[in-house]
Amino acid sequence: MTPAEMHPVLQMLHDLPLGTIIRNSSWLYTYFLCLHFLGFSLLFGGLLVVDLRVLGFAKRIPLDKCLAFLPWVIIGFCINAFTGLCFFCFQPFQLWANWAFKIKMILVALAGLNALFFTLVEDKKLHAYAAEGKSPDLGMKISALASLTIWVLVIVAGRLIVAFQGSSSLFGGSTDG
Amino acid sequence: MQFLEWLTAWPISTWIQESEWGFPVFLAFHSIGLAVVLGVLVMLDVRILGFAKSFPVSSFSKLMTWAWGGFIINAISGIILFAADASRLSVNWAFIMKMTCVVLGVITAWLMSRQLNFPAYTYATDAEADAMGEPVVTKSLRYLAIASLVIWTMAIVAGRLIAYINDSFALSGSAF
Repeated sequence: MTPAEMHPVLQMLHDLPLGTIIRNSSWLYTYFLCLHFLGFSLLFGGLLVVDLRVLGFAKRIPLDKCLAFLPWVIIGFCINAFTGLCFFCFQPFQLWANWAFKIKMILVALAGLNALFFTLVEDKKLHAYAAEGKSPDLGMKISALASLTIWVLVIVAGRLIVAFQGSSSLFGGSTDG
Repeated sequence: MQFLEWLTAWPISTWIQESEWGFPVFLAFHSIGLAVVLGVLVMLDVRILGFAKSFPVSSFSKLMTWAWGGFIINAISGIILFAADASRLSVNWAFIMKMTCVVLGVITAWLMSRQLNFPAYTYATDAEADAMGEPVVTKSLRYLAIASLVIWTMAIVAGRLIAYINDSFALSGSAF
């Protein structure tokens, strides 16, 4: 069986214009990779401000004021979801077979669930606590710590995708920085 | 060059060259450091440029200690990654451009910290910091914030390009 017969969904994604424009361009892939790094900095930076404060760092910052940076987290996530989707359409078969890619996607899903939990359960409490001047409770702290840990692991898994793509040789062709 | 050969012969350099894990491990550290440094700096820049105004600027003094921590991670992992491939990188124009950007970026961050009086806030107690009030966001700080965003973006782009340039002053491979 050809790869296309085995994975019709992957073949469909492969044939989307998102993948084709990257395949037809000599520089778009690199450009999107830079955007992926910038998106990540926005996402991680915004979360760092919020999560560190919830964990008890820089207590002088009013608890609810950190949330002003959340829009930047969402912008960063959207940039990376789009560029990431393009990367997947560019080479769906290779990525689908890459274990580091699968781990990364599971981690991103976990981070998403954690963010959903924080928004639905902890967010209201956070505003109430901020109004009363109370410190975050254990649930919030665990959620914040989980957020930072998972996103760091996402970075690591992301690097490993490149390292273990296709062959086991890391220096095949060019090094990656 | 003897110095470059000496770097390349470090045990850690040979480990990176020969093992399957050495290179990705240090690149992972380098990426984590990047996310911390740029994360904090970009948030500071957008705050200076007028976003998230409810967040007190002075609070960035403590976050900046995290940014410098991330920078140390990247300086160490960067030196090791350089040592592993010193003779190629030393003539790689993307690498030279990246180092230039990093130096400019650090100077910009240092100037911003100084103008915002961050060292004083960092060591102040909460009461002292409250007494000091919030630093004034001047026009020159806004220019520095724009410069910071541009410089660090260029550093990332140059960093990516290092991978695609194999010989000095020429682009090669499929990137272009």
